[in-house]
Amino acid sequence: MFSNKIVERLDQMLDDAMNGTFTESNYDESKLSRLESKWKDFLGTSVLSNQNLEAERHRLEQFISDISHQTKTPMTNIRMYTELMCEEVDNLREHENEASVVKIKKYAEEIARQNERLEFLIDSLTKLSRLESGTLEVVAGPSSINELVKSGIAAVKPKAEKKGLSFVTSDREDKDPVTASFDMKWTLEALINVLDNAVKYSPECGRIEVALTETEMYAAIHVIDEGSGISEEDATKIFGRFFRGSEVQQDDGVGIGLYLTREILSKEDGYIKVVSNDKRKGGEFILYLRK
Amino acid sequence: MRKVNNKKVISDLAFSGIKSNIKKYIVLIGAVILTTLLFSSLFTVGGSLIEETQIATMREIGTSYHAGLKYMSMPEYEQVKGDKGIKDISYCIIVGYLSDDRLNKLPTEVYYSEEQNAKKCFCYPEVGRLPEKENEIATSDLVLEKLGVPAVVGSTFKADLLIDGEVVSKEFVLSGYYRGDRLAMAQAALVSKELQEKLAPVRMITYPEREDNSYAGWMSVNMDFKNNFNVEESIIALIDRTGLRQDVDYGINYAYAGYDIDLSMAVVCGLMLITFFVAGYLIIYNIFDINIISDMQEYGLLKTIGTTGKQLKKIVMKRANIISLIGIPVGLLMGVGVGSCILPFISDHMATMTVDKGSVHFNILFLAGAALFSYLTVIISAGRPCRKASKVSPIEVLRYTDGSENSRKKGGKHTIVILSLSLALIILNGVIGLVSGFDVNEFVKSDVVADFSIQDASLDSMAASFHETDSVDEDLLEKIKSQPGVTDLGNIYISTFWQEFSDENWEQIEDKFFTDEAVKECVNNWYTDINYSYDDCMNDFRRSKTMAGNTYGMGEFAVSKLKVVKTIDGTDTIDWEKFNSGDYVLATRWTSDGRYYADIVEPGDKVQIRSHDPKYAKLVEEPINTAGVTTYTSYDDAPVKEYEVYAVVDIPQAMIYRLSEFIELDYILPESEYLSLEGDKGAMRTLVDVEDDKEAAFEGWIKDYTSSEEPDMSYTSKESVIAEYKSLSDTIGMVGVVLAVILGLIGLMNFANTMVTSIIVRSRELAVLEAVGMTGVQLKHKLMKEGFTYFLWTMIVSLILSSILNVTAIRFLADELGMFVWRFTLMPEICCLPLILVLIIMIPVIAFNRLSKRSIIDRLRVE
Amino acid sequence: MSILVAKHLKKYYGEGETLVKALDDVSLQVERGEFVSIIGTSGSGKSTLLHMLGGLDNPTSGKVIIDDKDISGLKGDKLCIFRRRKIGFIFQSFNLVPSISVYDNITLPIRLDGKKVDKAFVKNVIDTLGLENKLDTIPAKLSGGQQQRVAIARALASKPAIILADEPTGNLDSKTSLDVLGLLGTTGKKFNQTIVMITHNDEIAQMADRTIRIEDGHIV
Repeated sequence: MFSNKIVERLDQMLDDAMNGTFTESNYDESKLSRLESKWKDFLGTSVLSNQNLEAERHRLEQFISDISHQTKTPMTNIRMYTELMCEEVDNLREHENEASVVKIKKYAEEIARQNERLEFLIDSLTKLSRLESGTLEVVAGPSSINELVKSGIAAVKPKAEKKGLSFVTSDREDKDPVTASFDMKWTLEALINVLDNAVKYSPECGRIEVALTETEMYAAIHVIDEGSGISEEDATKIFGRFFRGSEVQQDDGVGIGLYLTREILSKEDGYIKVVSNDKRKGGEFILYLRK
Repeated sequence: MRKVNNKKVISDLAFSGIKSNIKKYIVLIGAVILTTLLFSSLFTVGGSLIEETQIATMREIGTSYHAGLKYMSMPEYEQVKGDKGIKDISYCIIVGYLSDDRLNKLPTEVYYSEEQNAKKCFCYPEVGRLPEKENEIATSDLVLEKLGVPAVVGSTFKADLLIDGEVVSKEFVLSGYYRGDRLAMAQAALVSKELQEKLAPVRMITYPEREDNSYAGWMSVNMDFKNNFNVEESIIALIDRTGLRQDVDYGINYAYAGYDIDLSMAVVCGLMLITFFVAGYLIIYNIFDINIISDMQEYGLLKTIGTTGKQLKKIVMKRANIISLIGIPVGLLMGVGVGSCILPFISDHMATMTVDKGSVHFNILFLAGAALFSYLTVIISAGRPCRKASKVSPIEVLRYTDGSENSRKKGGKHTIVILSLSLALIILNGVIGLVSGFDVNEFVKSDVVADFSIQDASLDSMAASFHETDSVDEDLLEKIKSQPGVTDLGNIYISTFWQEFSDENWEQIEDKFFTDEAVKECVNNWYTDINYSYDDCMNDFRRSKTMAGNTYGMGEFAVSKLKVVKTIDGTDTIDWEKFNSGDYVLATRWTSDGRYYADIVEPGDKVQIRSHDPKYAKLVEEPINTAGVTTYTSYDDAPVKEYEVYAVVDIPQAMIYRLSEFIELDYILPESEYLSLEGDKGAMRTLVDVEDDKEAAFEGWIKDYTSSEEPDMSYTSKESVIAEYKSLSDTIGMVGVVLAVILGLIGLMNFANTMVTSIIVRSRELAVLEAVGMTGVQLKHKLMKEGFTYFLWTMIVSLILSSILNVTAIRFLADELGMFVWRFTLMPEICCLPLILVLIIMIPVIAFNRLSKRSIIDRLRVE
Repeated sequence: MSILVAKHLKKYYGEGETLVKALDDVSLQVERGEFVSIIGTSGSGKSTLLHMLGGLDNPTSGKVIIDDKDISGLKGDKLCIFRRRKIGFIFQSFNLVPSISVYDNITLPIRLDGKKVDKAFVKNVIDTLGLENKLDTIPAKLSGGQQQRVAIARALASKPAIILADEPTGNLDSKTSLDVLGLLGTTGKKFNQTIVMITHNDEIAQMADRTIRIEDGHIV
């Protein structure tokens, strides 16, 4: 049987909770005191989930504005190049000018490039939204890191070769296979993003090093380029959505990549870290995968 | 308020803490075992002795039943039998007595007894069975021995049964026998129901309705109540409840009236309890404390993650309980073992005489008592460490790195170890000091006046209820005289009656003696009943003008052993020729425990002594109430003779009859005068002096004589008395040394534990010292020096305390016990100190050697 | 809504000439789910701060409010029970109970409170920290990193309002430190735990969402 006192206290607890003023009255070994703590805990987490909901809504708004912002440039460009191309076609029809053909080709290429960028952007965003909403699941399981690294390098090789970059990987990969628990498809996506980034910021004819290290709990993939690196200031911001380093504003690429990478890794209990450039020259990203 | 249930986790923590530190806790359990051992051996010995005394009382009375109703009829038995207050009830029916001259000193009752009654009255046949057939009988081996009947089931013998003055002769077959106890008031001879009904049919009418004056056929109904508290109240309630006649004769077993523990034994037991408690506390507390300190990190950590002080207390207490649970039963068993080894030695010196002398009596209460004391010691010892654990500050523990532990607490640790070591030394010194002062010669002089004293065995036995006072007959005297080397022989005769006084004498006594302050005080103290004052007592004295007292007759040799206080002619010797003239008498004086004396009569007084020669005895019947008459022996017609008091004397203890009244006046007449006044009779005892070189031969003869020819007689020789005291002294010494050894063990264990822990705790510090270049030898010196400090303090403390104890308690004991001559000594302790010194210096070195087997690097790493 | 608020915390030791201001007017705020690191050199007062936040030590003045409760008003056993329910500790020296198994260590705070162990949740924590094969071992048989993982699991298992970590990698080599930090960070996010960690190491501090720098008893 509940004693009156306990019922009164429960009543009071509910009132306080509704007013948002609930705190525990005491801490002792009684069951009531423990119940109060649990009640407080529950209220705390429900506040947290409200906050999360709010944050989610805010993020969605941000997301939409980001999409419109990010797609604006390629779209404008495409429209601009299309207009230019149209003008040039008119020009060609009037003057039969060889130079116009060259220009048209250049515009078409530009349009294709912008399109590609747009495609990448849309693709990433789709993935991200699916990842975040849980439509696509990251299923971590024992997989070979050597294979992951091989596939990743293969994927960015064409781009790198264009820039005359060379890849250096540690020799031990084949001798001593490293495995970890991750989702091959998604993690490859993540690795490619990081490698892409490295390719992007490497100086011409530079070198990109991909090294593997292991700790008891994690297998780490280090991606080291000879670019300008990331300042300590940026280090904590770099994984935010659509972030691009202040010094690399001009270069093409979309900030969404690193964000996606971080999301993917955290889904499989891994994480990514960047070594800021006061620690070393060049840029280094480390992907930690749970073993 | 309902509490959350976290008992399980607390007990888990308590258990796992012990499991993971098993070595530490084994030491603790060892300490608990030692403590319990001390307690339980004390309780075993003390309890068994109490029980032994109680059983002795029961055997003397002849029953272990709580109470009994006497002179009951069968209908009355049926009336009480089913009462709900009774746990057990059984009866026997009196038939008569065995009539045989050989049984004069071994009165034997004949009755029919139910089986249960026989068992509880110590007469159930241990060999054979209860009689069933008409001609069967069961009795004690003592009776059989007296009657010269072989103790074999089936032996036949003829016996005379005395039934109400009539003798019935009958041929019996022995159906069984039991071990008889000389202590018992009477031996039992059990007959079958059939015979009893034939010779003494059970009564069907009540005692007041009887027509004859016979004892045969009455039932003695014995019973146990549900408990033995206030047995008298229970039986009175039973009589009321069952509507039994109010004048029914009931008896209660005074073995249950209260344990007769004499005060000095209680004091010794009390002191031992305290000593054991202190010893136990010192070691258990110390080890517990050490364990707590070394577990401090764990307690602090538990507190950090939210274990409350109360929960920590519970954990520590739980551990104390677990330790008790293991240690106490083991200690109890060992204690019972040790106790039963010591018991016979101690029991030997007790004035009990039972069949199972010196055997262990298991009493769950005493074991429980020992367990309780041990448990209390553990709990009390755990108390302070427990509070310490509960008050641990988490922050302090987080900072706490190694053994640079606060040195202020070390003072306390020192004290405990030193006290613990000193305790053993003090006890050892006290006991050996006492025992080494054993010097019986002076003491024995009052106890033994001649080389030999020969008397009836029952005479000097405090346990015997019957004292034979005229057993030394002419025949024996002749035999003694015929032994070679006998130089002197002195008989002592006695009659115990009342001394009568003339009016003139009485006036003088009342004026002088009864006005003495010490006498007044003694009388006042004697009667504790508030309704009976000094004046009442004096009135009673005045009415009767008599005083309790014995009249002795003594030969010249015995008279020469008396201590003369004053004589008629002012000398301090008694002229035997003059005394033996027949006109004189010697008188004793009143004493209060030998501390204060007062004369009752003076030399020169004329006193009257009435003859108690049996030929003047006359049986007088006097009605007491409607129910019956009592008969007594009157000497009113006997002649009275007047004597002049020759001297006032003190009679040495060894010569007296050892039953005395609080105020008594004894007269001593010369042997021949005594015999002419009192008629011819045997002497109470005779004193014999033998030439020194013939003493052994004489003792051989008398020993043989008293054991085979006349086992009822006993002798005391100066040598045997000395030997007896020597063995008492040895027992005290043995018990003391055993105690000191155990306490010493506890002390050393305490020291070793403290030292080893301190070394382990400081192992890092020591390693650092070693790392910076202190050699092992130097370190050992350092540790030895620490041990030496303990030793110095122990020496100082124990020497001081021993000295104090020596001049107080030991001196008091020596004076009290009489057989020890007190002298100041510290020698036993001084002899032991070097041994302690060696151990105290060795222990840290051994501990360090074991520690230094690990490399320095290892030790430096120790957190 | 802040889970932890410290207002004008001061801790002075000694007096007069020997007065040491270990903490001098420190105020800070930690939000639910945040991973905050407090960075400072040794002697900067960061450990003192953490002890104040955890109710292990009393401030000279100022307030600590955890989950809306001002803990400066709590004393003795009440404070102990508060810690048991609201705070998870991770120490430099691991501070596991040496005599009981890993599993018992992890569930100890829960059981001290007489609560039923949420087995699914605890298993999740244990798996995440990779301790599933060590549950029956006693702490002494584990490596430092493993011991610290047990400590993290213990802190997480009771779902406290806040986890306070005092130089969690101070006794570990750099490789193991990475593991422990990675796990602390990822599990904190995964189980939505508020974590306050003190350290003297910048790189370690980088793992956190936010860094508070403390020097000579002041927040910089």
